[in-house]
Amino acid sequence: MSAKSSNARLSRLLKLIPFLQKNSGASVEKTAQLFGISEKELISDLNLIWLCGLPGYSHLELIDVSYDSGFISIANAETLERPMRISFQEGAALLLAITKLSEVTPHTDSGTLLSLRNKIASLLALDLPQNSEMPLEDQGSLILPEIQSVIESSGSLLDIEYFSATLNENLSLRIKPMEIQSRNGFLYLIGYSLSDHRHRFFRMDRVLKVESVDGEVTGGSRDINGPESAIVSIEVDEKGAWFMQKWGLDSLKRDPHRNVFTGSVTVYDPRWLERAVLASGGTLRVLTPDSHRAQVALAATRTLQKYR
Amino acid sequence: MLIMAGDRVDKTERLLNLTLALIATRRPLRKSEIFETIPGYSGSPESMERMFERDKDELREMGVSVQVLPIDPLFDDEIGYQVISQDYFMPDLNLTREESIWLAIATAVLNESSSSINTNGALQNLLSGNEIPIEEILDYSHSWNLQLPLNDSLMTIWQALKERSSLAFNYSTSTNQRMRRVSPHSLTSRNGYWYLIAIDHEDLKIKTFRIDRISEIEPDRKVPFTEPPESFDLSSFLRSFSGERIREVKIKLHREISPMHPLVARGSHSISDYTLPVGSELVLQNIDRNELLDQILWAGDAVEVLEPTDIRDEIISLLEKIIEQHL
Repeated sequence: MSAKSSNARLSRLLKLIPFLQKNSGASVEKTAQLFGISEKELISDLNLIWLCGLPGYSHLELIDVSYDSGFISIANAETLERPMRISFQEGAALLLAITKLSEVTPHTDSGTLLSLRNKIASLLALDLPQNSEMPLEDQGSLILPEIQSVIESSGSLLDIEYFSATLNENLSLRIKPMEIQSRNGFLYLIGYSLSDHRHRFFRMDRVLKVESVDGEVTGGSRDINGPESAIVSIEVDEKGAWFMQKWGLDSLKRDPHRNVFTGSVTVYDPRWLERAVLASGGTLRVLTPDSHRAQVALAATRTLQKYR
Repeated sequence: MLIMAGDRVDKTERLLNLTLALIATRRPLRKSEIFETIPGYSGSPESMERMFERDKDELREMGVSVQVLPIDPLFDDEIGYQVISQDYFMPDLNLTREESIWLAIATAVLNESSSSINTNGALQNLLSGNEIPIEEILDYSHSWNLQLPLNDSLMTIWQALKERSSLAFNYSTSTNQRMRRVSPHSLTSRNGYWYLIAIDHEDLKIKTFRIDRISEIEPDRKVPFTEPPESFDLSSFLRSFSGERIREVKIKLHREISPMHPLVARGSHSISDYTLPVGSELVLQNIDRNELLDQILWAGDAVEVLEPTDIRDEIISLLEKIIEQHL
């Protein structure tokens, strides 16, 4: 047996012994599955554990293992009651994934992820900055995993509560969830909305609440083309460079005399464009089509009236 | 599997017995005691010696820290071997069921990403110290094809912060790209980006580096770690780094607003089912000026700023400018 494979086996045994003490009566079948080995390999591991123990090596010191009925019990193994520490590398990799997840999941999920992050960081004796923009209380939230499991079961529907930034309000919709996608650093849920019979994108960090419900997609066509869109041509000054980075502009051109860029962006909902232009504070200007220009002017006028 | 004849002991068996003995012992074990008691050490003294050296190295490679310690703490003339329980065992993390599930998902994300580190074993170790049934949890780590872009630089930075070692990396700004050598001080995040605060060895100034602009990062063994000057105050540095903050802003709602709205969901209060009714006046505290303007304007005619007047006036003039641009 090479050093590498004996290492892998020993490291498995050091996990198996505490696991079996915590999970007394675990089945041979499930345990083999969990550790990614065949039942035959597991039995051979158990037979080896049975030969080991503490100096003296009589029945008083040896670990006692039985698996007669297909269920494993282990005794006299208190020396290895707990598992081995994880390495710094392993812990840091987990922290990396946890931190990223907390940035893209629904808000309440982030609370749970951050409390997990703090536990792993303390295990590594690592002092991580607290992100003041995130909630810290752990609400035991599992919105993203629930959505994922509904997608996998492919039978049920979701009642979803969602904060729409475009509309600036909460929506309650019944959807058939299709897929979770990662784009531009955000996670999106793609679902077919039964309320208005079209496919919609939901940014995951704005999902407030989900509940799975039994049901089928009925009525309307299941395969709908994307929502109507318009190609809008936009002018961006140098302060608006972030907009190009974030959303990307097609057929980008630079006007060297006025130090501005022009390009086009696909707009699915004119209300999104309205808000993006307002929030840019004058660094974005809609050139065409006229209807979109007018709509932006109207939105700004409506807002200004509140101040008059 | 081949059954070994006679008293030949399987190597894994010898290593497991050695580990158990080194953990269970109350004082360091002499090499001679190890050879006498643990089954599997045989042959000439030299070959037993060689076997033990290899075993010790293998255990260390796996993360089992075999320590060399004096047998009598008062005299260090005789040494022995021991694994200190506090170093070896995972402390109790009291993970909740939900935290355990997220941990399984984090492992799945790592498996999907390009990260070279496999954390399946770490996951098993973290979960088997738990009171929570492991089977249900591990179901979550399967068939989860979530590909997230992970920035490996953070791992190297964490390690350097912990070990207080210098770092070398390639840093690109909009104008150039070059090698930087720094002593890391701390990490902070702002507007969704991570920043490293570090002392640049070139001019010994404290600077911030955006993590996503860092590449080819590695520990810099050539340069010793530099401490920041005693006068360095992290919190005031962060204040100046993060731009102007407005202490108090009074706003009025002209439409119902969701508690999830970025303006009001600012971490200090938890999310519940209520909506804020039309006509409510709210006071927002300690908010970044640019972020405030962005969010107020994004909300359109739903929100009006009442105070301070300079913010109110600025919003009015921005709106006038936008109208003029779109006539």
